[in-house]
Amino acid sequence: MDIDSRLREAGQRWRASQGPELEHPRPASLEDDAPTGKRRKGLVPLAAAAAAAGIIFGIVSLQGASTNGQQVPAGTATTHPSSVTSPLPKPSTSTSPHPSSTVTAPPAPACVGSQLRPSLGTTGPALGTGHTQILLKNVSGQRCYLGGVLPLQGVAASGTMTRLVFPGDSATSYPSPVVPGNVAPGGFGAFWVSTQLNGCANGARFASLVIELSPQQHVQMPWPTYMSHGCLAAESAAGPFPQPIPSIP
Amino acid sequence: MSTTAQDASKRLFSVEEFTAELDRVMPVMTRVARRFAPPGDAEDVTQEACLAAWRYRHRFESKQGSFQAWVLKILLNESFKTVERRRRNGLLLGRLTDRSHSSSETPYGGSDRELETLISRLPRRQREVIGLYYFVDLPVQQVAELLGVSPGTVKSTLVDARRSLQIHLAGEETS
Repeated sequence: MDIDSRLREAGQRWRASQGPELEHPRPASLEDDAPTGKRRKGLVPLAAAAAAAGIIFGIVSLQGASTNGQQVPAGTATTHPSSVTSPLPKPSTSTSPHPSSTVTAPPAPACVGSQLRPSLGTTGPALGTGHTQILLKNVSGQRCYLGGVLPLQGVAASGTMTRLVFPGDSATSYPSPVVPGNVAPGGFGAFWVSTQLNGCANGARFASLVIELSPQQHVQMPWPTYMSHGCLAAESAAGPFPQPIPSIP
Repeated sequence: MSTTAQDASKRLFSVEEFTAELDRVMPVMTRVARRFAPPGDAEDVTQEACLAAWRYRHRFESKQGSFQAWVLKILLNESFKTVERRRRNGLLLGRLTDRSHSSSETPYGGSDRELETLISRLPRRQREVIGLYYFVDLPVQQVAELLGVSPGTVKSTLVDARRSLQIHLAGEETS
């Protein structure tokens, strides 16, 4: 592969690995920062604009908060935070599913457990690797943001929970990169799990799969038996499905 | 002040107009900040750049370039100043090359981290052009506008940078 293509692909992966965009200062902050001489000139209209913007921001924030707290639709599999343990440290990934300290607001509120209903998507082998697609349907009436690599846990029949560890980086999973974004009401999000089929007889086997959307938000689904075929290899980032531009590594 | 400049400053004097312009360019600003600001400082640098743009908005002249290019220049300068400040404070050692999201092997045999390390060793102008063109994903024309050079200069810088990277990659693969 020539250097130009290599740089393009590296750039594409880098962009896909970035979280939601940063936020610029609120209008009120800009008002506070206005030069003294100029501020006096337009004080009344600018103060009014800032006040109006503040009211609008407040209303939007309240609407966002009420959206997050909406009722759970029937049939949605949601677990309580206290029922999920984290015995092992979370795998280190640069594409955090949660807004990092450098991100102040995602384009839409992050998806919560009550909004997503997990289900098994397509499965199949390719070149010695098994691929399992997990679909996350947005059953709420609001769009929500989905991105980053979601930590997974396997739940044994006894109730014991084990964090799933993937030795391969998410960038090596298929498909890659997965573009994060908003999942529309009724639309789907998805992520993919790759398993190594060759030379690995004893794969992970659990009763159910817990998908962590955030430290407090989880969804749970029956264990996809196809994920027991081979050893866990890599987990892709999550994002809206279908993806805008699927990329085959 | 020219009529155009007066119009521009008048237009950008409104908080709503200014924030609307920022909304439009924030996706690109985010990528530039995460690419060129020290790791962990992208948000602060962006906030500083936005406030500086607001403070000096009367200097923006649309006939000299787009609002995006103007505000990105401020952001780049703010990023470089922060990098320099961190470097002076000795807090940036070993972190400049940590731009890659992945340390694993890529399908074509190398690694993004390896590539990022090589990019970090390029001369500053080549680093900027590579970052803006391949990673921020700006077209040559906008890279040129942002750096205040001609599109031809950007293209030749890209050629030089690619050649240098190719040589270093070949050398590392041989060794």
